[in-house]
Amino acid sequence: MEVQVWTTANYAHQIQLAEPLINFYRMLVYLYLVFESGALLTALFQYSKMKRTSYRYFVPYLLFIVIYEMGTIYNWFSVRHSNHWVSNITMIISFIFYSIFLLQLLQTDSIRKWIKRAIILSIFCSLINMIFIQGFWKLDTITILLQFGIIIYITCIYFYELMNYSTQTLLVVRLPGFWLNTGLLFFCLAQFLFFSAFAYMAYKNNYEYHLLFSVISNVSNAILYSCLIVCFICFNKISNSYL
Amino acid sequence: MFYMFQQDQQFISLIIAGTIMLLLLGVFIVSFLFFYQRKHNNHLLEKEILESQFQQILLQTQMEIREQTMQTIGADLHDNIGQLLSLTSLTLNSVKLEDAEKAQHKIDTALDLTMRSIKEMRLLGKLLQGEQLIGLGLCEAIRHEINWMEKSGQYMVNYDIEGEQPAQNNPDKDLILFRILQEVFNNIIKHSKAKEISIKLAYDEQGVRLQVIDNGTGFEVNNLPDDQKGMGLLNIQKRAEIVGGEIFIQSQPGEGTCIDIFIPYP
Repeated sequence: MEVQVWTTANYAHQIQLAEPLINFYRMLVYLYLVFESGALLTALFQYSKMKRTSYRYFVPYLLFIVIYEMGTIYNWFSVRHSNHWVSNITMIISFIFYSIFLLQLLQTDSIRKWIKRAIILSIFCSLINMIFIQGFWKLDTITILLQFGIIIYITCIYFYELMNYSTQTLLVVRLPGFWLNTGLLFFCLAQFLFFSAFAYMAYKNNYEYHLLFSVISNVSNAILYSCLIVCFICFNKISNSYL
Repeated sequence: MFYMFQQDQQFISLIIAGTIMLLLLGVFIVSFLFFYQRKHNNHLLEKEILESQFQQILLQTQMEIREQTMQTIGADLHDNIGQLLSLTSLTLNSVKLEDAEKAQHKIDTALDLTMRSIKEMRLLGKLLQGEQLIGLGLCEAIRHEINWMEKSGQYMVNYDIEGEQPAQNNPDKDLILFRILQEVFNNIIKHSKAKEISIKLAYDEQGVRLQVIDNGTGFEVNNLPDDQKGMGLLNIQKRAEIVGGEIFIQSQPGEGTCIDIFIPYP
C-alpha cells in the first residue's frame, strides 16, 4: 500500500490546486448578490420610464437590499457572532414594502381591505414575536412564515384577478405586475419549508443544512431578482392601461 | 448519535422534496395562468371578429333596404306616376276652348289624373319613411310593407300578430327580420305567381317567429332549376343565422310555399 508522505512542498501543491475551487465555491455562495445588483442596475437604467409609476420605489429599496447583503457577507452587522437581528429588521421592511406594493395592484376593494388588516396584524405579531417569543437576537422564523403566507396569498389573488377581470386582450408576459408576483411567489414557496425547519435544524450545526440554505437561498434569490429584472425591462413596451 | 444524524438526514430530504413540490406547484399556477390568458385572448379576438362581421352584415342590410326602397320608388315613378302625368299633359294639350262642354270634361279628367298623381306621390313619400318605421317597431314596418304590396291589387295579404311585443325591442334584429321579409316578398313577386299571402308574426318568451305562406307555384327546395338559383334563399338563411336564428322552408311544386323563421328575441 502506497503511503502519501506529507512534505511542505506537497502541502503547498495541494493548496494551490484547491484554491481556485475554493474561490469558485465562494463565488457561487454569493451568486445571489450578482442577481440583486443586476436588478438594482436595471431599475436605475429604467428609472426614466418608471418614474411616473410606483415602481420607482424599487430603486431605493434594492439599494437598501444590496447594502444589507454586502453587510452580511462582510460581517458589518455581526453582534454576538450573529447577524440575525438585522435579518429580522430587513425581513419586516421587505414584507412591508412588497405587501403594500402588491396591495395596490389588486382591484377588488373588499379583498384589499382584508389584506390591509392582515398586513397590520402581521406587523403587530412580528413585533410581539421579536420582543416576547423568539427574541431579537435569534431569527424570527414564525414572523417569516407568517409574512410568506400573506405574500403567497396576495400573489394568488393577483393571478386570480388577472384571469377573471381582464376584459381586453392581454399579454401577461408584458405586464410588470405579472413578473413581480411570479418572482415573489417562487421566492416564498422555495424558502417556506426551509424556514419552517430552521428553529429545529439551524442550531444543530448540521453542515448539510447550511449547504441546503446556501442552495435554496441562491436559487430563490436568483428567481426573484431575475423576475424583477424582466419586470423592469417590461417598461420598454408598456402602456399605462394595466400595470 | 448515529440515529439522530439519520433523523436529521431524513428531515433534510423531506425539506428538499417538499420544496421541490412547492416549486412545482408554483410552476403549475403560473403555467395555468399563462395558458388561460392565451385562450381568453383568442376568445376575445374571435368575439371581435364576429362582432365586426355582424356590423358589416347589418350595414349591408341597411344599404339593401335603402336600395330596395329606391328601386321601388324608381319603378313606381316610371310606371305609375310618370304615366299619370303624361296622360294629364296629353289631356290638357287636347283641350279645345271653342267646345266648352268637352273642354270642361277634359279639364275634370286632367284634375282627376292630377289628384291620383298627388295620391301616388304621397304613398311614395310614406315608402321613403318606411325605413324609419323600423324605429317604431317591426309590426308597423311589416304593416307598411304589406300595404304597399296590396296597393298593386295583385295580392291579398293576411297579417296576424300573436303574443305580446317585448317592452324592449332589438333594432338590429328588427332590421334583419324586416330585410328577410323583403327578400321573401321579392321571391314571391318574381317567382311564385301567388295571389294570397298569409303572414304571422308571433312573439313568445324565447323569441319571435315570422311565418310567410303563399299559394303560389311552389318549388323543390333542394332542387331549384338553374335559372332560379339566386342569392335570395342563401341570404335569408345567412341573415337568420347571424342573429342566432333558424329558418325552415317547406314547399312542393303546385302546393305553395311556407317559410318559417325563428329568431331569439330581444
